[in-house]
Amino acid sequence: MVDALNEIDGAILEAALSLEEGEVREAFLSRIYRADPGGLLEMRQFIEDSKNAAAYFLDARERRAEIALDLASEWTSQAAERPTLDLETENLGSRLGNYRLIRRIGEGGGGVVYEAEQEEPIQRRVAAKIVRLGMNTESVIARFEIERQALALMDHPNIAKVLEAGSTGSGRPYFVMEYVEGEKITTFCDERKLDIAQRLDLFIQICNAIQHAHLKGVVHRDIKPSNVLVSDSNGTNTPKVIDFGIAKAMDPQAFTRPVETSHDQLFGTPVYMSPEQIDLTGLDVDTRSDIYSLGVLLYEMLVSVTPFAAFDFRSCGISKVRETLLNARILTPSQTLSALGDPELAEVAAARGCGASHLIKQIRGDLDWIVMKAMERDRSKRYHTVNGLALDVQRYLSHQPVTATPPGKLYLLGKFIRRNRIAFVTGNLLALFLITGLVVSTSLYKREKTALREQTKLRAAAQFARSEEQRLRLIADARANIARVAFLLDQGRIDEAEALRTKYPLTSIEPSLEAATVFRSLGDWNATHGRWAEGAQCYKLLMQANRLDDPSKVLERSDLIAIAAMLLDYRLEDYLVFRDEVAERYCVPQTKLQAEHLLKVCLISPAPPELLGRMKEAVQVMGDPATAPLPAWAGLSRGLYEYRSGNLDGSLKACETGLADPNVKNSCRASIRSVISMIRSKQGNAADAKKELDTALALIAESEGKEFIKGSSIPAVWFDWVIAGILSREAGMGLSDG
Amino acid sequence: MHLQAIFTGCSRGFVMKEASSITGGNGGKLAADLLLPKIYEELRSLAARQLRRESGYQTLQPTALVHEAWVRISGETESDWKNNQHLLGVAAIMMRRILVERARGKATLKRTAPANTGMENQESTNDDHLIMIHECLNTLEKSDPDSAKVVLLKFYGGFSNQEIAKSTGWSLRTVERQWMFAKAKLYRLICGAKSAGNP
Repeated sequence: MVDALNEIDGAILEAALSLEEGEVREAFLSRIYRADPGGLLEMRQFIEDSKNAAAYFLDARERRAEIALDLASEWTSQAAERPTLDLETENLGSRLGNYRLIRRIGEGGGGVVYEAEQEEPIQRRVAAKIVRLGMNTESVIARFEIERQALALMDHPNIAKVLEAGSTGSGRPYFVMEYVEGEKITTFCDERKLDIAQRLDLFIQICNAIQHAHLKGVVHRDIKPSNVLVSDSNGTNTPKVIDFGIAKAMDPQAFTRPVETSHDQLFGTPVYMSPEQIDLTGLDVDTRSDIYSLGVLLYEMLVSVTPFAAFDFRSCGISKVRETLLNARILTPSQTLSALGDPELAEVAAARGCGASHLIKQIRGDLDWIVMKAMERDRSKRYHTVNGLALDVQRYLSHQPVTATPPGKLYLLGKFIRRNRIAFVTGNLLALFLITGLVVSTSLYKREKTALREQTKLRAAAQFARSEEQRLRLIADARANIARVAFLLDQGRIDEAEALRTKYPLTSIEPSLEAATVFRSLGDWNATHGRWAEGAQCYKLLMQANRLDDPSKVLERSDLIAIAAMLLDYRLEDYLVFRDEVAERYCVPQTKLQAEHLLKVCLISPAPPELLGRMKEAVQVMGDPATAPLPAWAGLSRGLYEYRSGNLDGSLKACETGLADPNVKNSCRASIRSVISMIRSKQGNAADAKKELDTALALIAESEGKEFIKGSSIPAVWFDWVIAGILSREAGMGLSDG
Repeated sequence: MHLQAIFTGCSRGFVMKEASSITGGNGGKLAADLLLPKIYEELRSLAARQLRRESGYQTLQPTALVHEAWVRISGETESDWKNNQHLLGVAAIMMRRILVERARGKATLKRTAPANTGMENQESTNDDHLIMIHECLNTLEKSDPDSAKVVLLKFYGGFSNQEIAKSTGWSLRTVERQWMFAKAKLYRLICGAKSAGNP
């Protein structure tokens, strides 16, 4: 048994080292050594010593290996092969297992890479990497064996396959992998002058490869440009990640041989190594370390310079490297660009096919944030998975908000703008622009039991919205109406917005479900202000957008009624075309409400027999108006149907049912009265007809577009009044006929 | 590559007898003394044989080498050998001897000043590590034998944590922790020695 005190001290040291340096570690230490300042001092010293000791022993291992090899060389009688410590003298043409070395490709972190040829059992070209001396062969081989097994599982288009691992004649470990033709990614991008988007596409592919490896339990641990080769075979650029050989399998239980994990062996290239890799005190390295390295890679792909370019690590000792990586402040990519001299900056920009200031602008903001998040020193603050990183890059490319940023309304608005590709001069214009269309819309037709959304005139809306309460309510509704976000941002500029209204290129917004809300808002606003021409245009686009939506949903809403009301008031021919489409497309309502809507839309204007025929089913679905969700409107709709069909008695009955509804709105009441007026006219009762119509007109006049139920005010819907106006006009014409 | 001790002897059982008959803390050292001359011989021939073999063979793989030698000589099974604490210790001591002697030899060649004071000359860098560790380990053994043992087995013996755990009976976690702690302690001693050695 190990001495108990010893074990306790060791455990304390281990625990202290596993805590992040700084506040947490300090708190831990002060807790443990509360009454023991001497002990605290000593433990601090141990912590310091641990760090330096690891580096020291690393060097010691190298020396040990050198001496051991020295001894071995003496003991062999193979004078010809005197193993040297010099890596460069592996003879070309010499054999490495089944492979024959052909030429030296280069030197990478950890060893020298050769091109080799396999002859048996099949002939193919491979790459062989012979690892630098100074490592315990057995443990390295053991590790590679596991890697090989792990990598055999990896079958990913962006990962180079490792075929075999072994040890050379002079005791150096090697491994053999698929021969990848291509240039290292940074050179590839610069030479072909790939722009930022193209580089990001490549980067996402690399992320996919690394993510794939992580899923298999393999951490790469040495991600850097020379380990990502790109070839442009078949016209597409394919990046391939190589050199997983020094990765460490995370799940040794999956394989048969036992694994010796050696915490104090240092792999990797300093610049790309994550702080925890460099921190030699034994913290386990996990997938987030790769994420850090990917961040550095992205950094370099964006600005051709690495974050620590100012430091020359080759001349540094390990502890200096460590200290720099852990403590030095990193500039963001755009800051680095700004700090470059003019000629260098011009060169960097040229390699990306754009001008210097444009480049900085592209990178500043989102890309900066993504890179810095990946490179967070504290690994719990980085992206948790490579996928997360890739998704954020993807979001940047599609102008979605990225998660790496602090949220801000202006930021979100900016994204919305770019996503919808609306042309405008400055960002602010759009905000103003959307404001004007930002009317509190009534896109969803709700039952009266739930409040209808308020639709007010823009001036009133502006005044109203300036108050905090409304602002908060609008925020809550923001989801339903994107334009409201803009409104919240830029409320005060209504008048300027007015002036800019005419410049609004509505047609540049693609019809989409999202855009539909914008069209609806704009249409509503225009309608409310009597701008029929503009409103009609908006509604046409809304129609288009609605075509993308489920017919039942569209029918459920009041879009069609709004459109109908506007068109009918504005231009009859347009309405008729619209009506035909509606009848065609929405002819089978599923619910009573939908049925009522359909009837109303189609029958507020005289209808030909075939159309009436098509409406029959809707009537059946709606059923008896008294049982409908909104008896007043249902009564109107049924009344219209019967009237248009020539069934005057049935129509009257329906109208009376409608009027009997205690919750009937004034606009509805006015509409129904108009219909009754028309009935009376048809029946030849001119006096009654006039009386009804006068009632209707009086209602319209005194309500002034407002609504009341049982005397209390409720939100008004503009098209309800428009419908009332339309029907009252028709009734008026009926009067003069009669 | 790291070499481990090869046990050799004129007859089977020689080593077993020698090594297992010795008990106690110093037992390892005695055994090492006895076996050391024979070791070079065996080590040399084994190494030569391995290097001459077909390439692709994992040459000079320490465990295999030792195991092979041991099995040939003593007829013991691998697990026995690995589980026997003493034998592991002996092997490690052997290696320490061999390496340190070699390191000292090289250091002598490098040095221009004639006198060997017993403390390594500050200016020879390459083999400083091995010799410093060796000498400070002696100090550590007196104050903290457990830590010293870990360093011996791990650094000089080149054994894996698993092997050490199995033979010492400590848990794997304990071994890992001890190794980390021991390195820190040893390093402290080394720093102390270095600064003391400064003229």
